[in-house]
Amino acid sequence: MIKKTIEGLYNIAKGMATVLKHIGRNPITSSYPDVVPELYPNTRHRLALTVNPDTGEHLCIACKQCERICPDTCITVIGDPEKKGVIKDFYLDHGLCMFCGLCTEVCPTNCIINTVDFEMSEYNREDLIYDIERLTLSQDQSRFYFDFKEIPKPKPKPVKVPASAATAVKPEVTGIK
Amino acid sequence: MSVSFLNLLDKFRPHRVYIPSPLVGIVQFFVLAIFWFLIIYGATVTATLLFAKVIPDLFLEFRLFNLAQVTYYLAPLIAVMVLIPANATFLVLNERKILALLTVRSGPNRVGPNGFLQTVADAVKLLFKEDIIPKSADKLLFNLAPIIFFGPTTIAFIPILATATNNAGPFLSCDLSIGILFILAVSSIPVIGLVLGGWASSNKYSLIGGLRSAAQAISYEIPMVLTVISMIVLTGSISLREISDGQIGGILNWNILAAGELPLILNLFPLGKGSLIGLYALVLLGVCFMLFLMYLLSACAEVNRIPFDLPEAESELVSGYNTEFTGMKFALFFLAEYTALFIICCLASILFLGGVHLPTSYETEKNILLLLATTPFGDFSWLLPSIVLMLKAYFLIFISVWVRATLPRLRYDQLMSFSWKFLIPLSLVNIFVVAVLVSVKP
Repeated sequence: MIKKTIEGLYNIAKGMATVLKHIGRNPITSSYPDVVPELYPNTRHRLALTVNPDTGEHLCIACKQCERICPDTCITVIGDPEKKGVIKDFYLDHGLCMFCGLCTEVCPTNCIINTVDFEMSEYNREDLIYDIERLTLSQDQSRFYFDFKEIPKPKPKPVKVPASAATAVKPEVTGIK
Repeated sequence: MSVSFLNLLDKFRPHRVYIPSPLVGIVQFFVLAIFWFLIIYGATVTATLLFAKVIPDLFLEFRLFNLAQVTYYLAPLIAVMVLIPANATFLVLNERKILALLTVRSGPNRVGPNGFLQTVADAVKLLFKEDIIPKSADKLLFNLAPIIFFGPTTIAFIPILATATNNAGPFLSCDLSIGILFILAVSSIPVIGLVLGGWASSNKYSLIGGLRSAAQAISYEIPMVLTVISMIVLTGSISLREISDGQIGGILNWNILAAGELPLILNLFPLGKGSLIGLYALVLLGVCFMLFLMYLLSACAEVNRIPFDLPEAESELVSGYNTEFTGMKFALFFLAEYTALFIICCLASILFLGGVHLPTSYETEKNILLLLATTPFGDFSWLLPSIVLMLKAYFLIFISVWVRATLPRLRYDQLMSFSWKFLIPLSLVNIFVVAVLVSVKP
């Protein structure tokens, strides 16, 4: 029994020495409001609409794919009634949003993206509905996010060819005869 | 209002890393500790001076001699009443910060610079909580339980005060010649507080929890008292002051290192007639060390300290004796636990670690005392013994917190069998061995 006592004491002492070795170490806690966590490019936090980093025009073409796919129906897209492909109003309710990222996956122009900002507290629920003013990023911010997330930059729009040249080149259509 | 949109580019927010280099945590903790020590000392000294000098002088001017004397002799009580809550306040923060240092975290660091006002915030929070008494609870006993738990632990500190200040001023009256007996006797009273707390809560889980913790307290009191008896037999007196003075003159005279007989071990090696004396010293050393460990173990168990804190375990608190207590009553239980820990560590350092004396020779200590006694501001010779005692006690408290960070807690039956089947027989054997050694002393 004395052997057991000494063994027990020795093991406890070994354990305590292990704990003592940690005493001077840098704390792992990151004190949050002072230190901002470095998040990865594909974290899904607040949504935003980007503009073309080079030209500055809005990338949204009002296709309503994001509105269709959203499981929470928190997106409302209102396109311009005269011109097709120009966005007029875009409402996204962050109170309903579940940050699944489906809208960012289906967007054909990579307009709507998930940013790394998660500090969205408001005092009432209505303030959580972001309109297009609050959602759209500036050109610098868009450039930052395109680089950060390594999204391919939007291709420049093709130059408008005059109608005569278009008909002069007949496309070779070898299809079903 | 709403969060600014520029927060989107989080890279641009200044990254202030909280602790720049590894040892800064320890340094910050020491700064905190020194600051709180200044507060504790300042408060106690102010209170004592007030009641021992200022007010009696005031009364003497009005020729009220009796009142002056009464106030003078009340000073130790007021000193204890100021010292104990202040000390317990620091102890809570101390424990949380050291636990954080040992577990690679940063402890409380929001309230006040580096968190030094954390316990004050806790106390204010507990003060503002609603004082709920369960409807079928016994009102008188419910109100009495925290008082019975907290009062005696406060009073038990008084003989230690006399030793700590080398009988300065009004503390001369606290120098009890039966100091240890007083402390042990008074420390047995809070057990009633536990049982009352469990019973008066009118909650069957609290009742069982209270009974278990009371059983634990009394079954660990026995080995604690028996180890103290061994030390009393070894040193030959019950008075704290005499035990402390028996360890003057250097670290080799400390009771944990065989009470001054350690050099006799050198007799062991040229084997012959002198080696029996060496053997005597060796056995005494082993016995003293074992006594120290046993005393610490049983005292920690007495105070409900991890690894023995099942009655108030944080994860099983629903079945503890202090479930139904809210607000200030809970604060009293909480503070009393830390105060009891402090008293036990003070007692251990007086009994084993040399009391109030420095681990250097007597001349050095006398010189420092003389230096302090002749400062232009007055007689400060009480400063050295109390600082030394506090340092030793806090070293033991550090070990206690270190044990808390390391070990899991014992199950209740393991706890009880550890006491009755292991510690009590061992302490009885120790008394016998110490008695034999003392009578055989060469």
